[in-house]
Order: sequence, then C-alpha cells, then structure tokens
Amino acid sequence: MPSFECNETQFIENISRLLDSENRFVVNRRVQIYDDRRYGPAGMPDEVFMQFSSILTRKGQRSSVYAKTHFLDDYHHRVYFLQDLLHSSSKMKYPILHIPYYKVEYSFRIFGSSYHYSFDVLFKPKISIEQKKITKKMNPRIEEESAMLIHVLQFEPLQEKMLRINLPKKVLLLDFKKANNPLEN
Amino acid sequence: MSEKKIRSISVFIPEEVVCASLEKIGFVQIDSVTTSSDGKFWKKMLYIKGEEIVSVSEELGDYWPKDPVISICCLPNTIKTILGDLDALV
Repeated sequence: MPSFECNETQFIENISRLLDSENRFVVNRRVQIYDDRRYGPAGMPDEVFMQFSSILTRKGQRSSVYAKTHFLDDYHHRVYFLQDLLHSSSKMKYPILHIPYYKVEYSFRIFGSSYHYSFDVLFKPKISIEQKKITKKMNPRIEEESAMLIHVLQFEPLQEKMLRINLPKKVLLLDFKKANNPLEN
Repeated sequence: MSEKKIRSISVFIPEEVVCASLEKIGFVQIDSVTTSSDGKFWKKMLYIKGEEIVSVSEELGDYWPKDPVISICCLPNTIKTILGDLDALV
C-alpha cells in the first residue's frame, strides 16, 4: 500500500479537502513518551538552550555542553558536577544529558493509500534550587549520602492540548498503542 | 450553529505580527512548547477563543525567510476573519 509522509500543512489541508468532499475516513493517533537520547542540549537551537542557561554552558549550537554548576537531573535521578561534559560535539548522537519527549503520530487511510504526519514535543525544563537528598546511585563520585541545597532540573508535564492537532468533532479519531501489520507475520 | 472547519497555511509574515493579529480578534495564548518535525525545531504556540483553536508554529534557529505555519480549527466566519487579516498584512 502506498504510504505518504506529510508536513503539518499538507496533512491538515488533506483532511479539510476530504471533509469537504464528504468522504468517510478514520484518523488514527498514537502518543508515546520516549527517552531515547534523541535530543541532547548541544543540538538545541539557542532559543531552547536558553531555558537551560542557569545550569549548562556551550559556545554555540553543536558545540560541546558542560555543567555550569552542580545539579540534579530529577527526571533521570542523576547528579552532575561543575564542568562535567554533558554532550560532546564529537558524539552528537550520544548525549549524556538528554530531554524526554512525546512522539505524536497521526495517520489516515483512504483510496488504498495512507497519509502520515508525526512530530515530537519536548518536555519543558524547570530549574529551581531545592533541598534534595543526594545518594550514591546518582553519581559514582558521590562518597556519602547527604541532603543539600542544589540546582534541580525537572521536566514539566505537558498539557494534552499541546500534543494534538485540532480537528472538528465530526472527524472520527482513534487512539492506538501499537500498529500490527498482519502481512508481516 | 455552523460546524468548525480546519485550515492550515504558511505565510511570510513574522510570527509576532501573526500573534498580534490573533490577539486583536480575541484569541489568548494558553501555552507554548518546543516541537521537532521534518528535522527542524519549532516553537508551537496555542491560541484559544472559546471552542476555537489556532496553533502558530515557527521554525527556531537562524533561518530566513521565516514562514510560520498557522493551523486553524474555527468557525467559518473566524477563519475568514483570520485569513482576511493575514491577507491585509502581506
């Protein structure tokens, strides 16, 4: 079956035309959290990197990223120390500090072809200074467990509204977790 | 009451101007997130007025020309107003 990848404008306009032509179809959606090191701080545009600027430093986009201060990555339960290398410019695909994200995939099938649009929504960083219990598991260089005031990097949950494209109520939208293709078995 | 319709367009108008135009007709920004698609990073802003929703996505980074993507899920009259306002700005 032919399968077509669309951008946002193409996907929405295609649905709009199908609605105008009164064709019946179903739009499928899958939303999943990933934390697979796809997005590291070295690859971020400056506007996004700025959100981390109180704890991270770099010379420019695609330059190595270092810790500007000690901090706790509360999402991954890891502590980093001042000047730790967190994303090397020579290992762009393997960031040490990485940002979780939602992968949102939309598709519909009509006239024997399927049309897809997908995008990733990155978790929003929130940086604060808090009293936290630091354990040996958080970094092998920690010798003793202790409670201390430390910069804390957290990732805020995203509003569900930000994880969807907005469609009229008459569009039948079905969510799914995994696509099984019987032809593959 | 008529049903909501959808449209999505990209325009060569700065994102600030598009957002100001939406705010002028009563839309309020409720959130903004960083998204990634087509190998690019985007700032996606969501505007709401009652049941009507508009998202404005602008590519991040040092790119030119900027052409934000505007996706609209609104009543036909509102779509007409938004597109008319944007046309007047071009």
